[in-house]
Amino acid sequence: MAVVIDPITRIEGHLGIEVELSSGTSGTPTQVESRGEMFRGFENFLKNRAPGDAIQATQRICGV
Amino acid sequence: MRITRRQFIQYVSAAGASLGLSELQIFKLTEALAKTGSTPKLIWLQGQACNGCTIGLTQLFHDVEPELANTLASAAADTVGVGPSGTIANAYTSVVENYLDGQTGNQADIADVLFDVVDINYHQTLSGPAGYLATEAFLSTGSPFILAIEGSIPASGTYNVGSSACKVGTPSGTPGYTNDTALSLAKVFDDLTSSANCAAIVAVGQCASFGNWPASRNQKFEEFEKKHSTYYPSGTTAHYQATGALSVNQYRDRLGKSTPVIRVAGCPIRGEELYLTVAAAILNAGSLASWYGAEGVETANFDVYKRPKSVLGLSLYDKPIHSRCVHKQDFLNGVFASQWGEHASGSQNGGCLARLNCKGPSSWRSCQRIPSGGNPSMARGTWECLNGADGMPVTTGRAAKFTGTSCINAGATCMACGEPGYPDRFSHPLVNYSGYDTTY
Repeated sequence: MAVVIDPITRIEGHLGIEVELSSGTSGTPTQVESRGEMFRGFENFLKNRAPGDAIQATQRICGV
Repeated sequence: MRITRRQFIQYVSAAGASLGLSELQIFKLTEALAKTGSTPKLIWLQGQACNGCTIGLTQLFHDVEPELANTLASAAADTVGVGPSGTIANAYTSVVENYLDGQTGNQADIADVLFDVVDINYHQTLSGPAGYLATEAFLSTGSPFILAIEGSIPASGTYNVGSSACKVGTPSGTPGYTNDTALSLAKVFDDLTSSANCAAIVAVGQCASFGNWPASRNQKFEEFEKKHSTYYPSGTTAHYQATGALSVNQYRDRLGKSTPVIRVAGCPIRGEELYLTVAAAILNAGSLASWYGAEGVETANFDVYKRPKSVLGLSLYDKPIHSRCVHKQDFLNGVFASQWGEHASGSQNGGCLARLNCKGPSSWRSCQRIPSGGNPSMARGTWECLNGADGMPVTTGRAAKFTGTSCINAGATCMACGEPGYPDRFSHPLVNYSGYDTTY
């Protein structure tokens, strides 16, 4: 039996938590996963760009 | 969050006055925003976003102390369920009261307007419920809604990762459910826009409007690689965008749909730009199709990309920065700064930044002219820190009326962050710009 809370709200970004319980809803957790649900690939698209681009790109990783 | 009509009018008058609205314009704005019950709900989904645009919006929430205390208290009671909720609720309330002690009185603010009038039905960063309760909120399409998308949309069939690069939630009905598959934004977007109740889409920010950084790829380097294939055998150095990120319009077109998309472009946007656009939509709710006009055509209200030109006389996307820049007179006089931080001799405010490859002529935004706090998304390093061109507030002369917070006012160059093609079109950000052969 798995309990999934996805999305976690009131945070920046996309996060889900999944807990696999051994029995019913009061069993012990046997498997717990946190899922980062969004990917943009900054490391990828920054390759071979002009170095000055990195100044602007890395600013946009987080807007908080 | 209920407010009285008197409080509401007080806010709008104060906000309108600070934005330079005339009395007639303030009246119209009040009228529009006071039409409760007739506005559709707003569902806000986040794609491949950094939340900078949400921060721009939420920074308009100035004083919410009493409501915040109540909201946190009931959120605490809900999350801990049956139990000593009274104790925890009290703890939350006292933290809020102690922290917010000394704030100004309970004035109506944009939060009240947005939640009471526009009815934000779901926003992941602002939503009380989490998990399947949250997904229920954004999957319900029973009544008319406006869909706001912040961030780009990765779609399946593109590159390596496709639509699994952005999931927005896992739905189910009861606690203790078995593992369901998380829904991708691509799928949810498809489902929501298929509903007849989807009145319009607002692309919030540059990622949703034009792809922005998630959709960037180094095309110049790709051309270079092809040209010098001896040195770059194919398959070794190709670095394309990782996820196939698409703008809202690109994905909508791929799905073959024609829902109107209004772009509030910029990286990031300001809360004022968004709420003025929303207010304009409400003002024109009775004739949305004619206000929007034909797709892909410049009209009186929108430019060819469907960015609103101006709302109630307040300029948004109708003129380039260069045409009315704080340094325009220096440009005309031929006084330029040649180094960062230089105060060029004979300049009024340091000199035009054209020689530092400022992209002002290509950037059709109103950055220098929106007063208030701008977007304190401080990661950018330029928002709200500085008001005057030399770093000091300017109170006299021509520059005094440029009360907006902008990159140029902080001493940086404009990067044209609200334009189609940003960032690739303007890369290298510090060189390679020939926009000054325009006539503005």
